[in-house]
Amino acid sequence: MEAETLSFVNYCLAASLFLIGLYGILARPHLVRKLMAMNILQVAVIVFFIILGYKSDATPPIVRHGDETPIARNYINPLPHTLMLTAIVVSVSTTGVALALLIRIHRRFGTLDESELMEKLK
Amino acid sequence: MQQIFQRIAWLPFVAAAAILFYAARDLPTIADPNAPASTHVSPRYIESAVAETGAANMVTAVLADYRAYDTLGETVVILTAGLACLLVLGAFTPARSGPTEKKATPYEFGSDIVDATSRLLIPFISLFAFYVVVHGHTSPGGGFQGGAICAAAIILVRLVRGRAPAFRLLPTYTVAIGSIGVLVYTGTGLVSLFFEKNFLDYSGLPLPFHGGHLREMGSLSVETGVFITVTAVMVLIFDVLTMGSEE
Repeated sequence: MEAETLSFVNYCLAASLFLIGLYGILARPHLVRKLMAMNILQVAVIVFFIILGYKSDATPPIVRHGDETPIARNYINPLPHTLMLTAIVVSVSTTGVALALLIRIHRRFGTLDESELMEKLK
Repeated sequence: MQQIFQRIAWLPFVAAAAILFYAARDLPTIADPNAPASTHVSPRYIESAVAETGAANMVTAVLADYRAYDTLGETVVILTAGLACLLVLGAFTPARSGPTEKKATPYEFGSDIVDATSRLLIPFISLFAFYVVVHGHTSPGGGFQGGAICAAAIILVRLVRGRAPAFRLLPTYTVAIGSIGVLVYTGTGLVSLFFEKNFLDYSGLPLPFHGGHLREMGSLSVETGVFITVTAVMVLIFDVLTMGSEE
């Protein structure tokens, strides 16, 4: 398969993951499922960034021993990796806070279903 | 009202799908070394990271040296998330945070086999976590990764042994440990401030090293702070979320 088609397929896979997450957030009534969908959405963004950082015939962004003058062509782009490293940690933290809020909601209302919650909030 | 929202939920979904798949056609070819992402900012980092920061791992160089301010904010975000979990679940109220009277069974979650295996594994997991932090400049690794691995080891203990008193650490103490990590980070920055350099400019640290090595030591100190915070907050989140289950 030629490179353009292959990249299009890859980008579409990342987009599909994003859409799965978006659909879950919009259409699923259960809050835990919404949270899981949000995590899938974050993973889609991470995958997309990592795809962008790749270069053909390049090594991971760690300078080889003895390489005095590193050339940008020989190493893949370190910036998406740095960004996604922090994104992963933040996503873990936000998931933790979201779970704490869900536990709190469940203690108060006894349910995590959106429509039942709306009934009880009336 | 709720039903209407449920029914039209596919509308923004279809719109987003159309935009994303349309935009995917215009993105650069994967692995193309001449793509904009690979030719604009990153060559500067790749070509001068080792000379300027002494870290062979460019990801660590960018994270702990060039963008140290951002990482400081990141660490504070993590600590804040831990604090938010603690506050949301009301762990500060004495009834919940006090030690429970219930007699701890030897294996609350695990069994003999799981216990024996985890005893074998946990020392190595912890050692690997420290290796990942200390060696983060010359190989893949760093404070965030090491912190996550170390937290995994501690959470494994909690999963296997239950929350027996011997392994118990009150969430309020865990959050204090997490704050120590942020303190180490900020302290490193402040030390260079006292030696007439900018905040987090490691070339001002009073250590017997020069050039790249000195900066490497500075970012190692910062990574240690990140490691402490990430470990503490991961354990804290796990503790707080599972707090209700033992009652």
